[in-house]
Amino acid sequence: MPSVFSGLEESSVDPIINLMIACKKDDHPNKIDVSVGVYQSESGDPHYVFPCVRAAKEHLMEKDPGHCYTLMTGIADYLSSAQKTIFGANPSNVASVQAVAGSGSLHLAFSLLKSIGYKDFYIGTPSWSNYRGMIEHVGCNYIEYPYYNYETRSVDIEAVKKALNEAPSKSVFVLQAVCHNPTGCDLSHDQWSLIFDIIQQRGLFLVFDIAYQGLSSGDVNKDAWAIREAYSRKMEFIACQSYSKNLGLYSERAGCTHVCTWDLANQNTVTSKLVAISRNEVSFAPAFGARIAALVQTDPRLQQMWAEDVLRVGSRLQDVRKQALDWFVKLQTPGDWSHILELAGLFWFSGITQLQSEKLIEEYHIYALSNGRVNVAGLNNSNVEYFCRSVDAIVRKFPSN
Amino acid sequence: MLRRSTRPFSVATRLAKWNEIPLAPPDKILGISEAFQKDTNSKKINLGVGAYRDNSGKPIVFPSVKKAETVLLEKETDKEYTGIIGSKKYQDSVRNFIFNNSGKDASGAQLIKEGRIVTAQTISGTGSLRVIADFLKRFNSAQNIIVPKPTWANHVAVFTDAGLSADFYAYYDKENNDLDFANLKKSISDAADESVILLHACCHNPTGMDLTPEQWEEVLAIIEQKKLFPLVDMAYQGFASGSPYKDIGLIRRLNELVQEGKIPTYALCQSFAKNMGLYGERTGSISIIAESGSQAKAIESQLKKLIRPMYSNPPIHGSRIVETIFSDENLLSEWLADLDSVVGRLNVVRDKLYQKLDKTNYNWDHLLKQRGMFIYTGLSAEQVIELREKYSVYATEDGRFSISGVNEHNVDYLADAINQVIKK
Repeated sequence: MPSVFSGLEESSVDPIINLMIACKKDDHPNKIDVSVGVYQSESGDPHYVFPCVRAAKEHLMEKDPGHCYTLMTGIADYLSSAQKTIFGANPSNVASVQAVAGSGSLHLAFSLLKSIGYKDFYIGTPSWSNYRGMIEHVGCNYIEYPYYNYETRSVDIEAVKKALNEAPSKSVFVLQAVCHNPTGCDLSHDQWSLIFDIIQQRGLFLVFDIAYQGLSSGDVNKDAWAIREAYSRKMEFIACQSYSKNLGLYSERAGCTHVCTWDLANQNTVTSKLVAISRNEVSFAPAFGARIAALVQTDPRLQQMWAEDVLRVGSRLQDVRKQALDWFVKLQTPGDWSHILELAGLFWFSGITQLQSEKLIEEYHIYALSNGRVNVAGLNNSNVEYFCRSVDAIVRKFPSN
Repeated sequence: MLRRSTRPFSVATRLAKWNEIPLAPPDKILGISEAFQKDTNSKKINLGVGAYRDNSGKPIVFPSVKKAETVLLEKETDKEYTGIIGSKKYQDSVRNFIFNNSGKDASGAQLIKEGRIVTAQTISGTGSLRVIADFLKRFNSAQNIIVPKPTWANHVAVFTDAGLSADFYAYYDKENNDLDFANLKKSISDAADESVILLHACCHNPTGMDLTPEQWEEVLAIIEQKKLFPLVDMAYQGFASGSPYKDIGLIRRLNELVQEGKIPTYALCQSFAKNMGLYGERTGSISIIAESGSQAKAIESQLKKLIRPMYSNPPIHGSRIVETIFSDENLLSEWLADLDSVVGRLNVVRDKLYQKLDKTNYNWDHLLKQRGMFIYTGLSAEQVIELREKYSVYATEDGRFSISGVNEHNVDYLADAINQVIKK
């Protein structure tokens, strides 16, 4: 019988998935997983639950809000507290809609922009692998420009400026607000200001992706600097927020799309459009994760716990970076490793080559991405020495050049 | 470093574009809810939203669901990402529940064994409809779908938004408040060969009027003959009979026809929004029955490719509840009992309303044939508006009443109001 699914071919899987599978199968006692971008505790537990989340879940169990339909825009307390976390207060000119975590919030933003005629989206390289697919999925084009300079191991600000200056005026720039994935290399305040200048002068549009708020400085307020600065400049932009990392709510899918528009008459329109997009795709975002996030951000006791949790996570990441650098210095590992301290968040773009990363897996059971991205949360007091000694050995055995 | 520009930045072009965004029409049902909230009449009744309310008018958490949540909280599950199409355990649970039908569906069991059923967790029912719509847009030869008239308010928008064209087939006779079976068959026969056809598995939304097994046979024969692609939407499994295992006659029959090679493929959208009361947790699935195990693998990989750029992966709170209930025999029987009592209440109150309605000039017999969460009253938009304005009874203007808003405390008031309105 002829098939209706003519021409259907098996789609290739994300290479990170194969790495995850290999890592899961490996039961060597020294195994270190520094691949997937999730937080791991000092004891190496990737299933770490933030104490404030645990407390919120217990609260919800006692004072059960049930599972009823929420508003189409999302849970009101959640939206309000999500705005406060991003903007520091409830801004009067931001339309916010709950979304299916960070990806869902970006998808909403891209769909909205597409609906008003934007079609060119600029993505700095290297970047989160899903941007390209997400932009194409809504029927738009992505244009890549270098964000990172592999030589200097820092932001290639000249290339960023060039891209901003040369992009057609109706272009969208997608920039990560903090803890750049995969490089860990963020823009300085001065660099942000420079970028905002060009965006404002040239009538470009900015989408912030903020997936790791708090994991750089240990303080969610400090990590929202770029967005708050853009807001104070009265720019129009969209901020796409996720609680996957800074509350560890990964699979609960808690996110938010915040659209900042200065024509107040537009606000309801923008909200209605976001709701309409959602309505035809998922109806609305899931409740449970949003209820946890709302509680954590509104209950004074949980708020305090969360601030402490985030600070602890931020400090641990910084501490383990210091330890790693100390070991590389002590071992006199070839190459300059000092950049590890200049980076922030989960990721460290190590400069480890593809061959070296393959050998690290083969010989030492250390799983990093083939592009050299190391999730430093996979390191802790008890394995950082083994990690550094392994890298040291591999770098000597298989020199980078 | 560049100084901040002193030139005022030009927003004219962008704002012009922002201003072009048309105000999207508000969702009718939610608009009714909002008006209901504002109404100060103590006797007000909300018959708009399709969610269950108990006899005191309150939403419930199924006791079995609450127990599953307690188990989950004690176990403290991890929050790491599940797969793009959900966890294997969820997929297996759903597949086994629906297609193996508690060991009673030999054809379905065989299809599972042959690896021909692809199941992906989705963002509840809407998400599953959207995923299959996008999938069909990309890979199906036919790019049109026919849906019953009337159907769930959002069906057409979901399909057309994905780029399919949608058309109606006859379903309901508003004059006689009955299934319009002759025209249903005729309009399906008139559709283009290979069209996608949307079928409501049970508790047709909004009419509550389902086909009999004999009628399904006739429809399935046309589907086979015209090579239509059946897309089954099952949002209310369990709400017709009280038992989810009894409400899937259509699925069992389709599985047989697939095994016999008469209908090569079909797809099923379902959710646990209603039958576990997981509305806000967005817990559903899409299953596609493929012609072979290898085709199933290809389909699965394409579903992943489709979902990843939309929202990466689905939420787990609801799906963990489902997994927990299906992996514990006691919880499973508790859930079945919970569901049975929910449906039982709806049927009791439906009968009560029927008894109290004035039948002298109005035939209410259709109420007794309708099943599920709704009664399709046949009242006109004017009558519905009068109910709202004079009696604070809120329903959609198509005359669909959500029976779950009715209880023994307000059924007399409601019946009186309706009797007054139809007198004119």
